[in-house]
Amino acid sequence: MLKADHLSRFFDVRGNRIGALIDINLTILPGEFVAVTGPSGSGKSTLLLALGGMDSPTRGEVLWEDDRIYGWDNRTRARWRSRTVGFVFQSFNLVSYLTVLENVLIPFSIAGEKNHSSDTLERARGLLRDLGLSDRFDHFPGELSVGQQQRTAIARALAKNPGMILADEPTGNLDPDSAGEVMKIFEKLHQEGKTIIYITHDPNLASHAGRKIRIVDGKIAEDVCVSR
Amino acid sequence: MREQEPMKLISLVFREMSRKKGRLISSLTAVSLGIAVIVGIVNITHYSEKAVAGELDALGANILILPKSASVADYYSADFQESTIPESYVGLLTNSDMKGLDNLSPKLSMPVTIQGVRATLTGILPRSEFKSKAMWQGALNVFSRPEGCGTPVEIPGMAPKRNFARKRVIEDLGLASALVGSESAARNNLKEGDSLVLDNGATFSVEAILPATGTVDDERIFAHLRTVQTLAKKDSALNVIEIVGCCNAIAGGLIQKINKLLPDAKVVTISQIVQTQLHTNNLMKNLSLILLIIILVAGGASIANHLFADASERRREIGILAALGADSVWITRMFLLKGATIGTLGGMIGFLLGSVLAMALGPAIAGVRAMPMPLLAVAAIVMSAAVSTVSALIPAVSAAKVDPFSIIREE
Repeated sequence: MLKADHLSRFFDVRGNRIGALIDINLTILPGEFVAVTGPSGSGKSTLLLALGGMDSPTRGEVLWEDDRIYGWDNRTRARWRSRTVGFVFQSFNLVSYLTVLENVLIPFSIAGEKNHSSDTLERARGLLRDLGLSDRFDHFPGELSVGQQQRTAIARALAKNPGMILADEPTGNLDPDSAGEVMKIFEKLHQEGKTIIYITHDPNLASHAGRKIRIVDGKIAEDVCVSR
Repeated sequence: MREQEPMKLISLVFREMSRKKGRLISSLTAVSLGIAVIVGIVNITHYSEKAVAGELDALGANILILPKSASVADYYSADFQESTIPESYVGLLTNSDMKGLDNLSPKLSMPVTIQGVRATLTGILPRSEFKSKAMWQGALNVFSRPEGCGTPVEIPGMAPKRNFARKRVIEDLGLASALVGSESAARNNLKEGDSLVLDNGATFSVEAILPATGTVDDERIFAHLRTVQTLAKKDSALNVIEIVGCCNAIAGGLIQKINKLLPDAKVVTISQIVQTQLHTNNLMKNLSLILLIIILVAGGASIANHLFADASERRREIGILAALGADSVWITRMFLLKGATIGTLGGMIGFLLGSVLAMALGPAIAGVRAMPMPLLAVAAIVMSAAVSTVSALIPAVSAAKVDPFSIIREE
């Protein structure tokens, strides 16, 4: 269970204190499929990164299984991210000089997994096959369509089999068909029991989620469960 | 599809480096040239030091142990009158724990006449005598050079035949054999294989005519020490023990130690030889050291500059890696590994370049033929990798401090 407890994040911009997140209280249960919506600059990405252990809040806590993740040291938090969270970004953020397969293997390299190398390799290949990239293992990101790049990024996020996927506008740079494909993948992952939290501006794409959280001016304006 | 190993950190580093070939080549060139210059200088210095040491050694011993009443002038004129030192001194020296005594050459000289003309017959113990005289070895084509100061080295193009040398020198110079100095041979019209008959009746077979050395040795006739001791009726007696002492050991108090060991003998250094050796060695070492420091600082700065630019350009990638679970230690390691890789490759290329440089320029610059030195390869690679890794430390720590959140928020 992931919990934001009175979470606030302020930035000092040219002497002005700007509140990106203000007193957010939120509980995400295992297996939830959550869409975070809101206007640009409302604090959606800040919330996602704070929940993913990437940005220390100014006030409040992020709790993972009742443990304060910002109470851990950086190494412990990095290890937790590596094992528990898979990030998907709007602009994919693939490493341009590595092939599709190598990009998916990066999390294993970071985790320093030397054993079971054939297992990790097979897992990476299996993920790419499941995402329809079986003929793209040796291609570089620049040789792929944007949809294929995002699917590669999703495969990379899933490499270590994390329980939770945090996606920051994963369909923002995709055409409608590719966006639909990505949402189908997320639905499938949700059905497999993973927790999915994704940011979107598109009401249609938000409708895939079982819970919709709307952020406005750093505060939760709406938090509703949707029966599907 | 090619068969592939799971990504290791080093693979990641190699892939990243190969992406920017221009910058890689630029850094490698800087490191390689630096190492090449160091290797070239050290290589040429090494061989020229040895060549100088060899030439100075050829002038003869640099330490003399004489009877208390004898002088250096007596040594050069082989006119020791009746003063001698016991042969047991040789045993005392060889059994002592003194370091820097490279060769001991005990001698006994006596005046003789050949068809009425005065000459000096000097008794030698062949093995030590041959080992301490470079020019003699050249004459017999058995040694490349004497064992002088420092580690003996092989001079390229002159293959040593040590086993043959020992056998021939120790076992073949018989009690009735003689080596004749060039002047003496010319005066008496002697050549190899001739018989030499002294006026006192002693007869020797001429084993070899020694080339001119420009020293008193040119006037002498050398025979086995035992033979000369018998002719002189001085069993177990010597006039002098010549020593080729390591110049560094002499500077470090070797003479005082010998004086303490042999209080009844006179110990003399031929200071010009020692000073010249020390001066030459120090000059070359100091020059190398100054260049080494300059090149290391310049090479290290080049690597650091490369990696700082790298860390700055790769901020986004570092942020993504952090999001995927990379901690500061992992990111630091990635940059240090890159520095070490450039250093290792630069060290290898630099060694090859430097060795070629030394071989090409050695004869022109220092008049010596240089050859690649395997130990120098290890030193060059280790030093280059170490300097590069240390230079990468600050950029690596700086890269590890990149805030992934700020990078990702820039999207």
